[in-house]
Amino acid sequence: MNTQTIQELSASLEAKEVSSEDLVKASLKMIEEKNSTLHAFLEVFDDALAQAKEIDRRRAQGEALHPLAGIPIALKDNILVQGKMASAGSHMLENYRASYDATVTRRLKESGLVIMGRTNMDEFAMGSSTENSHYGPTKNPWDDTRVPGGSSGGSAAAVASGMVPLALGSDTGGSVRQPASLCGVCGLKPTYGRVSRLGLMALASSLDQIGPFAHRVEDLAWLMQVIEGQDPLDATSSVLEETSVSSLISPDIKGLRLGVPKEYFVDGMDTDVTQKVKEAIAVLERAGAEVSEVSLPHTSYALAAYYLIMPAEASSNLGRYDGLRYGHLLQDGTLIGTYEQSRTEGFGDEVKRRIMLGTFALSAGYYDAYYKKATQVRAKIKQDFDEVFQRVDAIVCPTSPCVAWKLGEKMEDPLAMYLSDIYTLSANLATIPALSIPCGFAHDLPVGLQFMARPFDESTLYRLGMTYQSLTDWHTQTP
Amino acid sequence: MHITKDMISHVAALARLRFSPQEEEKYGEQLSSILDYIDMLQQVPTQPGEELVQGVSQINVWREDIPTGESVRQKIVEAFTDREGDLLKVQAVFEDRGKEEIL
Repeated sequence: MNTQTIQELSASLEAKEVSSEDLVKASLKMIEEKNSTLHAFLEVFDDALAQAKEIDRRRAQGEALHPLAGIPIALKDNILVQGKMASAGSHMLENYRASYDATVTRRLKESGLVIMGRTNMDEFAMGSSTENSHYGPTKNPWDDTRVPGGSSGGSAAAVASGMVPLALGSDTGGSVRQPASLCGVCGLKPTYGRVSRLGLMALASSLDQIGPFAHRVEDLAWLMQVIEGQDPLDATSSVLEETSVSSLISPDIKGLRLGVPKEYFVDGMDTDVTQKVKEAIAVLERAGAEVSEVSLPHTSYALAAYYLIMPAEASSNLGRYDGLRYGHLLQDGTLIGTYEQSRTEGFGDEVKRRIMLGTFALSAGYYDAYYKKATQVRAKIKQDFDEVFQRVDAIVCPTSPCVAWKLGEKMEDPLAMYLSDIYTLSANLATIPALSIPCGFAHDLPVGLQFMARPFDESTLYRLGMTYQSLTDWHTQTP
Repeated sequence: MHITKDMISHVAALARLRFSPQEEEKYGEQLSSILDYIDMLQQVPTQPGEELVQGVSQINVWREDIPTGESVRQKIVEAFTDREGDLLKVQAVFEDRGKEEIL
């Protein structure tokens, strides 16, 4: 299943050489073999085989199905599937069952993809290693003493280990791209507004986007066609022109202008990672891209701006977890006491840290100096990108400054953990699309190459990624 | 910026969280060190009015208010942690306040 492209799998299903039931059984077998070690899935849905059989039945009756019908997919535990548990990796929502389908879930169901289960994540998507899950960490498929990255570490590990060919995660500051990089798979953060956020548990609403994982860029593009598009129930989703995946069949990057931001190659970066990224850029140059150095002068302020804006929005969004409407309830003498008890027991350490930071940044006397200042710096960061995209068509850089680190290594030092997102969070602040693809190994662990493009220009990311993957075979290597 | 224990308990009250004295100390130290890092933002010259606070430029996005049936409403009611039938149980909001405070 994992040596084939999604298009090949689709053709095999269409030709009835293989059934959806076969694919789901193969997926279940891999989960059975590997999940006890990796802990990528929190739950495998008991109706996965039934979903597959239903698709096979419809196909047997001659119904015209979507090309992706019958293909297994995993969802991050913060994306709602009606009637199924959705815990966001938190004790707070341990017994919560989703009341409705997320828009992406509805679209997957309408297209006939088989939803296999829910994958592990940092609690409420707060983290870069999946160690903040209340249900225990996920391990990296390349070395199970190391983290898979985060916060969508379960989805990245599930695809990398061959449990499923496709998965969805969410990316607020790098939570799809960074684990994709650390696990050696492809991950896309779409332009803000391309994918509906309805039914994605909110972390920071001006930054959050749902994004796909797969082994190949072409597969990401196929999955994006299913999940993207305007949604009346998310006012920030955008009306899109139809993107044609078939136009990407023989991608060409001759004359494409690629910018390499000088601020992204600085001291403190793993030199072996830098080396791999530079080799990848040379491959693209040989394929006809025009590479030049560009500058994003406010880069060094992005992490500081992000770590005010994200916790501020999160502290507001997580106000809904009061123990009453859903989730973890601990009665205390008074209503305020009940709120405090439920939240103090229900939330983990990192979630409380960010709620505290965000509440502080929004509190009287500090709002202007912290939150408002950060939003002004965010505007500067976006201007940097606007200016660079007048001169180049895309940016190329590392996804993560390092490879997967040892479990526990950064747990006591929040700032060191936050620094692992330094190359990814600018794209969220600037609302632009960004893609991570595997580009080799350093210290025997996967290295990720990142592309960023103008808002709604995902097709340039696909062209770059597919061209690179047609010239290299890093994406075919498995743990 | 140094975050005092008093500031931690004030912010914790705003956030509806409770901390032990040891936790107050730990969070105080961690938040102080994060805010020291964040203070670098003050070096960036910015103008009031140039804030970027949302991801999209659309404004006044409207849609028809179409009834969609009862099934989702019923499931949301069922998710409520304490209820009797369709009645949702919440502790009294004013119960613990003194008379003066209510007036």
